[in-house]
Amino acid sequence: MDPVTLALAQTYTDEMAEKSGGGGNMIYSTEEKIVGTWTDGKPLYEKTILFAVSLAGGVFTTIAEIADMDEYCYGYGKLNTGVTFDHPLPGRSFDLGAEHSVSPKLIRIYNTSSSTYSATGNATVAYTKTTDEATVPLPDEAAMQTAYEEGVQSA
Amino acid sequence: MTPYEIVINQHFNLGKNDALDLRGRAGKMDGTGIIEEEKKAPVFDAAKDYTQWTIGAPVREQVDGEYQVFKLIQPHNAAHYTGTPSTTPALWSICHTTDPEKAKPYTAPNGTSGLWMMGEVCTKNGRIWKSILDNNAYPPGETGTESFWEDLGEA
Repeated sequence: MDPVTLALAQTYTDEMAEKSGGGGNMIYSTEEKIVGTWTDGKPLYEKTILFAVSLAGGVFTTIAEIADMDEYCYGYGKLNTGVTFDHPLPGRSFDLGAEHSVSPKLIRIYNTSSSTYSATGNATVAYTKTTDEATVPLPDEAAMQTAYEEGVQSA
Repeated sequence: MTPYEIVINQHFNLGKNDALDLRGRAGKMDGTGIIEEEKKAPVFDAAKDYTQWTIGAPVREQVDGEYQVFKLIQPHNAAHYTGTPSTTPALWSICHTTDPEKAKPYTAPNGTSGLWMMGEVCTKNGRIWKSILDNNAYPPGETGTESFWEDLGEA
């Protein structure tokens, strides 16, 4: 990404973060907020999901629905089954991901074992939204040329 | 302000600053120099007050479908006059260039205004012509004017 575009993306990110109450500062929230800009230029949203679910063995269990989610970018967290060890998410015993084939898209945990567990924990997921523009909207060459000519004319 | 607006504003301000910069320098520039930077010259506005403009400040006007550049001779309020730079030689003087790559279509002198000086170039009938003497009032490429113009080839 060239420096100008990067600076503009940062401005956009900062403004969006400000509007969202301050994102990008390791402040986790169960409320959806913008925390940055994804690689395609879209705003990157994040929310932390607190869950208490029963995880049947060998199946996916939904812990949240996210309206208008476009791309699931990443997710992490921890899961506790009532013992002294907090499992990492995603991890060897429990996986974390998004189900894309449904609408709204679902955040799910996969229990890799054959046992059923009652689990509590949190999962922080980041994603883009279908309601945003595909890229940070910047004017095209024609629009910039028009703006320049209007500036000349205004002088 | 969105990145889109930031970029648009930057180009608007760039155009305005370029125009003011050229206007400040144009009084000491010849036609070749001004035409080299003609994109920084605003289009003539028949309603504009040019009384505060400095002598030599340039504007552009479409003449027969092509932009020609004119330098201010007499600061005035255009709203008080009928006509445009190409028809008011007492107020505006057409610029000619010596750069064949920037040659503009031939325009006939208006009295003593717009006479072609030695080395100045124009285009006519798809060819580039260079005036080979000062105060040349004759059109190029016509019988009897061979001693006034040098044919530089296709435009």
